[in-house]
Amino acid sequence: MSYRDYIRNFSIIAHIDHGKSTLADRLLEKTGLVSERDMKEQFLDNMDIERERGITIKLQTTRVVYKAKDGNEYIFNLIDTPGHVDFTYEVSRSLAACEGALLIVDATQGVEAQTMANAYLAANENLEILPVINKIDLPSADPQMAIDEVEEMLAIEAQDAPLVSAKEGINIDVLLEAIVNRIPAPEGDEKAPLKALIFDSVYDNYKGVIIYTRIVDGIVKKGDMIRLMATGKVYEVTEVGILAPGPVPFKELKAGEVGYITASIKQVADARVGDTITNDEYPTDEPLPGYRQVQSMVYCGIYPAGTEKYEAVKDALEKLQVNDAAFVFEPETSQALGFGFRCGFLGLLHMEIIVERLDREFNLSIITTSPSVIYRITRTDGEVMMIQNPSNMPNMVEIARMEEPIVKANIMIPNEYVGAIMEICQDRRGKMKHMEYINENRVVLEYIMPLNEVIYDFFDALKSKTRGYGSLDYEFIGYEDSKLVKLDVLLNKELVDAFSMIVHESRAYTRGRFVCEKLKEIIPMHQFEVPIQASVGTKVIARETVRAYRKDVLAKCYGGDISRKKKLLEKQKEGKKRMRQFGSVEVPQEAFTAVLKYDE
Amino acid sequence: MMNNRGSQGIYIHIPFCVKKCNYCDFLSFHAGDEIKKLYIDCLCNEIRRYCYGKSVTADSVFIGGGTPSVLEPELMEKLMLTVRDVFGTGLDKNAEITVETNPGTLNKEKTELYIDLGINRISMGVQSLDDVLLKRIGRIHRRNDVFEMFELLRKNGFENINTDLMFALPEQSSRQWKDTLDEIFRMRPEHISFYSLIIEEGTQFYDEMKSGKLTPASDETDRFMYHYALSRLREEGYRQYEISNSAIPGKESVHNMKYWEMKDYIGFGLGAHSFVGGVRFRNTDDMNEYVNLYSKKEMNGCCLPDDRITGIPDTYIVNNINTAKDNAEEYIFTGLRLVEGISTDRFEKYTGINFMEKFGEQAEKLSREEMIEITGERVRLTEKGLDFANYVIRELMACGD
Repeated sequence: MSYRDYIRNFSIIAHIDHGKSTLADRLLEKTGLVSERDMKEQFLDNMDIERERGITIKLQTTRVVYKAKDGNEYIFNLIDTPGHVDFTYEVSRSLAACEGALLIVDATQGVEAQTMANAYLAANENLEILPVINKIDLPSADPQMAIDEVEEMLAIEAQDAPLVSAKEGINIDVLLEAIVNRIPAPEGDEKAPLKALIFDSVYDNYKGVIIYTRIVDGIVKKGDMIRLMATGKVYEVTEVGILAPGPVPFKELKAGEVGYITASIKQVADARVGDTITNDEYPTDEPLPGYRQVQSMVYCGIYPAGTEKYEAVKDALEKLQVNDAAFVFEPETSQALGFGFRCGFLGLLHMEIIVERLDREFNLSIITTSPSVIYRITRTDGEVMMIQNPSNMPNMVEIARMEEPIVKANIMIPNEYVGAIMEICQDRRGKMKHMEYINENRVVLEYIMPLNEVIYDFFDALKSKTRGYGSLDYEFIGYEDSKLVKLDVLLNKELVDAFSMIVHESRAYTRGRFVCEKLKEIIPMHQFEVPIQASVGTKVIARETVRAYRKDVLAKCYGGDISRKKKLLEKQKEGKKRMRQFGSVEVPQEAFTAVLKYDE
Repeated sequence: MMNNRGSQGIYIHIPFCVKKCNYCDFLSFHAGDEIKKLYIDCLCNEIRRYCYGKSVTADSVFIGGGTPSVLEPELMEKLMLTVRDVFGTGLDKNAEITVETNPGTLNKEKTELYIDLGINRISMGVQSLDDVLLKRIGRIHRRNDVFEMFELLRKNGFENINTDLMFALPEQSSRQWKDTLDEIFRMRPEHISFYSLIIEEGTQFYDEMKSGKLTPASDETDRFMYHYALSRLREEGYRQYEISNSAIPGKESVHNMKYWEMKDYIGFGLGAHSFVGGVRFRNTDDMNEYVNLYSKKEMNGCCLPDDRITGIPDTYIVNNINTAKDNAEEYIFTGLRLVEGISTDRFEKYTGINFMEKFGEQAEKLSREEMIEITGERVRLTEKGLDFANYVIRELMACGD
């Protein structure tokens, strides 16, 4: 028997909220790592935002020891996967580090869009997929329905899937035995040249970048010279070890094992997810398949708000980037907002997370501009431009061809909402490719849609129209010709570039009207009338007016209670600080996000 | 720390009313005889204990509420005798002594008593002389009560009477406001306060507004009524001296001026506010707590332990120890309410800050916007600025940071 026979490398995959993190907690609790006392709920999710939203963004990988019924001790490497559609590539690389995957299905919900998407990803990596039906303790649980859906929709044998409740700890021992018995042990040759997969990396102030890796072949140890094959960079290994889940140094890592490597690497962008590590002196011929460079799909401007310092924002963005290879930024200037940054994200959620972290972890107050996708513009002189900032859009007369990114969207909904969802998809220029009734209650719709419609408010609209039951998964499929226009917003006759957006011609009127109406609600009364206009080129397509106010005075100050009056004025003063001045018009900062929100 | 900056004002709060008005968010409520008696006992204790061992000089007393005129004559008598006893010669013999009254709670006995107690100014909550409106806003009195009581007060020798009026009331027409003003001018009170209705959270009007039962007057109506009142007051020989106050020259309220000129005042009673020696402090607004603090008869040498930093007795809650910046901000927002505005000289003496250095740029801007007028060492609101006082104050305060 080889040491590898006692290793099981696996991931847990699930639709959001189906109980992935709770199950991970339970597995750790039942094995030899975490005591119940130390157990924080959802051990693996380590960021506040993740915990609050119930999603995992950064991976946590953990090695535990399980003493099985056969009397042997098995090493489990539990490789967590990020739980959102924006992070598909990261998920696929994590899965590539495993031999098996636990596919968690909520017994009250059945198969959802991301259950399918994740199951396909796992199947693509040839993993042994072990379905697990969770939440069987809930009164509305219907395990047989969930099992049937897995079999019908995913063509995965599920009759003997463990029925568990992660929350209540029911049948976790059954699941642990299933992991030992059904997930294959890793293969590999420790005598072959080093070949290791980077499936994640985090930045540590003392050690530099910590690479999370799966050793496919060979051995790596401290002092080895390693080469990262995609970037070609060579480093000396300073430490190797296992993840428990914090780093614990080991002498070496061998084929089949999962652990970490540090090598004084300065930023995570240098240790790219999916890259192959080899030994510089004794290299492998072929890198592992599947590497690709992450590509930002959504861009927006981030500007310091109010009195916030540009340098402070820059500093924070740099700190975030050190740990997030998918996040890119560069300086830019807006006439309306001054100096700031154009930032690229994997998707809208990724963007929201970064923005929220700037607020929470760095305590920065910022303004974000309308998110944009990357448009491909061919000028009349033949030059091709990739435009992600509406301000850089050339004049219409100089444009020969315009293309926009298109995605394939899989939408899973209860059937009573089919009509409503088809309507919002059509409104957003979606073309239906396929519709399938999974069972009498649920439907999968496949649409081809422009990405700019998806990032704008589609997800909010879907959730709102289906009372939260709709789920969405999408993937980029390419560029398509499109008739686009630049929609501008003018306040008191002056263009505010931060509100500009590129939209499809057919959507300009509705969007323009919506933005004007929203701004009318948000912009406070001034001492003069404030016209709000939306225009395409020189043509005004929508207009609203904020009336002038006629008075702003307190009637009375009661019995010498100056404090109360002062508090009111202070509050108004604070409100004023949160305003941006455009010409003579003051605009509250929330205006920038409010114009992006879905509204029935 | 309690350095004496001239004569102080004394405010005494009587939190009782027959019934709460629909717009009222003051600290006031209905109470039975027992409670009133207990409260006046505590109030007298508080005044004695505060003043023990201090020499306090005052030139104004303002008994406000609530409705102080709901007090039975013997309670008002006890209160006033205590004030006279405690302050003694510290109370200026020409001091302005005001009692707030509701025409529905006054009578012959009370007015005679007031004059005997040396009360020399009456503030009457008239609000309107239209019975439909009075009912709508929840007042207990009617127009005839006002005429009757005003006459009674005059007969008993009151030569300084204020009438409080309100405008921009729900469904109030311009006609109704004009008529009220005309009738008031015929009565010729020495002082007229005129407040625009502000619907505050926690009032009945607020709930009515939220549920759509009440439509507040438009800003246009509000301003029309305000400026109409200003021009009529001028015609009738009243001089406006503050945003909401006008008087026959020489009859401006001494007590109110304390607030606008950042002078010291002591507030006694439930929830009352004080400003003494640069410290803003207040009493609890919880009746039980108030009674616990002040019901003890024995004075124990009368010393309430003073906080060592502020010198304020420790039964009070310190809101703020004013910094120069606080003083400057407060000076601006109280001082600008006065029609004569603020004197930059006095401002600098008071705060140690040169007005034009600190606020000049913003003041110039506001002057260009015709919101304020800067002449010599005076900065004052223009007639337009009277409508936008908060805006002016915010703009000035913003450059204080």
